[in-house]
Amino acid sequence: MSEYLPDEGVTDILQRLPVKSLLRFRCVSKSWNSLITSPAFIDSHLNQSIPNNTPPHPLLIVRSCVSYPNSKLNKEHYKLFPDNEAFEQCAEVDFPVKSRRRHHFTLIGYVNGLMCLFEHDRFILWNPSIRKVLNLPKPCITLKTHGRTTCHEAFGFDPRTNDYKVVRIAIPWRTTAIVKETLVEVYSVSTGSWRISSTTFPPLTTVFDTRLPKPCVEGSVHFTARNRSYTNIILSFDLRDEVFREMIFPYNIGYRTYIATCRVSGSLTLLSYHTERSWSVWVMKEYGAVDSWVQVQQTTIDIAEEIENVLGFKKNGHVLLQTRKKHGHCDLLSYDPESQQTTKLEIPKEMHTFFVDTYRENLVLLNQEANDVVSRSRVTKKRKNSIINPVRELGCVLDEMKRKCEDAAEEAKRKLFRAEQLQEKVQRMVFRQNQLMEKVELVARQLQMEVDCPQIQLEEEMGSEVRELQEKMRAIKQELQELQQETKQ
Amino acid sequence: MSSTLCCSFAKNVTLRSSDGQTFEVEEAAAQVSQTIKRMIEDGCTGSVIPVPNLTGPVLALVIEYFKKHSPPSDGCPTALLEMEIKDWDAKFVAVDNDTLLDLTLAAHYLEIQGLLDLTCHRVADILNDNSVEKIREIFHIKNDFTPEEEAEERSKIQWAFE
Repeated sequence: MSEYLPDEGVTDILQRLPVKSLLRFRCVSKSWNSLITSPAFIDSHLNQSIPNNTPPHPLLIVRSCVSYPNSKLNKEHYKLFPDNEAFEQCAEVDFPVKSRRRHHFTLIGYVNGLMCLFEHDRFILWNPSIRKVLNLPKPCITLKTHGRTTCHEAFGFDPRTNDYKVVRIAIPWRTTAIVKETLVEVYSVSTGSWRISSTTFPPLTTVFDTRLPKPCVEGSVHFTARNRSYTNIILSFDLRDEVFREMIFPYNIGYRTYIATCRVSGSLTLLSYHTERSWSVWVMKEYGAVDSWVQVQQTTIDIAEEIENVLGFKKNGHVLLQTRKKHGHCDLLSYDPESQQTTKLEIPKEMHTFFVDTYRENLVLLNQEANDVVSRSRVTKKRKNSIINPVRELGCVLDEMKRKCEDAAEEAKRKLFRAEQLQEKVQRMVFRQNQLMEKVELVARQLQMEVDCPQIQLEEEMGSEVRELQEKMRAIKQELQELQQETKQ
Repeated sequence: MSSTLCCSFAKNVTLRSSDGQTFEVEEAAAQVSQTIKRMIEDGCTGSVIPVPNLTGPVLALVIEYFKKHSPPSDGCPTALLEMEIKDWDAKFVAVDNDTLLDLTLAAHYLEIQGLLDLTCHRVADILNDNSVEKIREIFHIKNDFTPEEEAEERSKIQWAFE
């Protein structure tokens, strides 16, 4: 009788299985193979895996990167840790792509267990749980076609269209640009191509560089930006409608040095850094409702290191932190808000970029035809190598210098920012001083009035008395004259 | 109020399996199945409700499940009761593979979400660490790949077999 188990019945069972078993069971039969690789099954497995398919402790994926120009070692490492008290590494995931540059890839986004990474104009999607990489075609906006641009990338999933998209905002450099306006291009996994969007980028808006990937919530990706009226805002880009929207920060967010958006348990979250060792966390309880911002944490920690990034939150409430680079490396810390203790996590010292999120097994990309961009380029690379090895060495030196420049630029940027802050502070103080001086003058005038008033009154009173007396005197004189005349008569 | 009403007027329905066996069960209990619930709402209560996809022994098991999972007559279920039901559930699906798959099919056909979750989890647990050959055996599936095709499929995802 069991051979009559209908497809839906098999689906019910299979969607509860871990990814590794499912990949193996593709070999059971042709019908199982087509069932497991069907888009419908991939979707239902993804949705099933949200509440159910979690081991006793959900896993966290930790990305740690190093960018030594001459190191032959792997530049990026992905490790899995159970989200529990002990937090001991349980597995390592191989990153299957070799960088063509000396730097590691830049992480654009992590959605549903899928990573989107890029270097220069090469974009890849990587599903670590099925070890599959999708090389995206070359974007439409390149140096050749559009001139120099500054790009801001984001990666997200739109549940309404069931599509994964990469978004690229290309802002032209004023002097050398071929195209003068800001363009937005979008890659969609379902169409498999890049397309310049017809949307208009909000004018006079500056998108900020952030240290962590931009979060995707409710089918929109979120940048931090400054709008035309010079207000800092969250700039969201709707992946379905391809429109930009502005969201204001909580009005009482207070003084901060740096602000970043992220996603915590599905909600849009703001990390507001006040000093190098204190931050607060704001959660938008109801997506899109700016009056639903709630401050859920305000923390100041007492450690020697400065904090570069709040990376994430463990299930037990502990906060994962990255310290600021010092002597060429930084640490990964776990901070317990209750006991206010920090613990250093065991990560090799030379790492200096971290990312942490929940590891999520899924079959996304399983049905995508892997293109052979990588293998073809490898062939060309071999040929090239024989000719341009010296050039590459030079490139290494250049890269090293570039890295140093970048470091210095970053330092300068930080200093400039600090200077701006100080300037703002000075301005505020001057303003306050002026206010105070005005107040002092006012008080002085009031005091003077208080002193002046009685005197005038007194003078007035005295004056009237004198006048009365004078009149009396005159009257008496008159009487006297009358009397004298009378006596004369 | 409503609970006393329910108790005093507890109605029974009769279910008939594919091999002609009939079972009487309280209407409230049978409504654990969404399919039967709809049939009762459509006025099938007077006659016997046919359950053509299930054999007598399987239907008997399902009725056992109905009885354990019928809504308690005295209102909300207690934590203790829930614990007891959980234990009972675990024992209920500790059966041979064929019976387990029959129960899965029954849960699917009769739309009993709780039983479907229970059996699917159990099957998934059994399948998880098993080999491809063993899966074919459990599900009585004929391998329709040629040896070359299967070898090619396997080579693509070698790591999943390690």
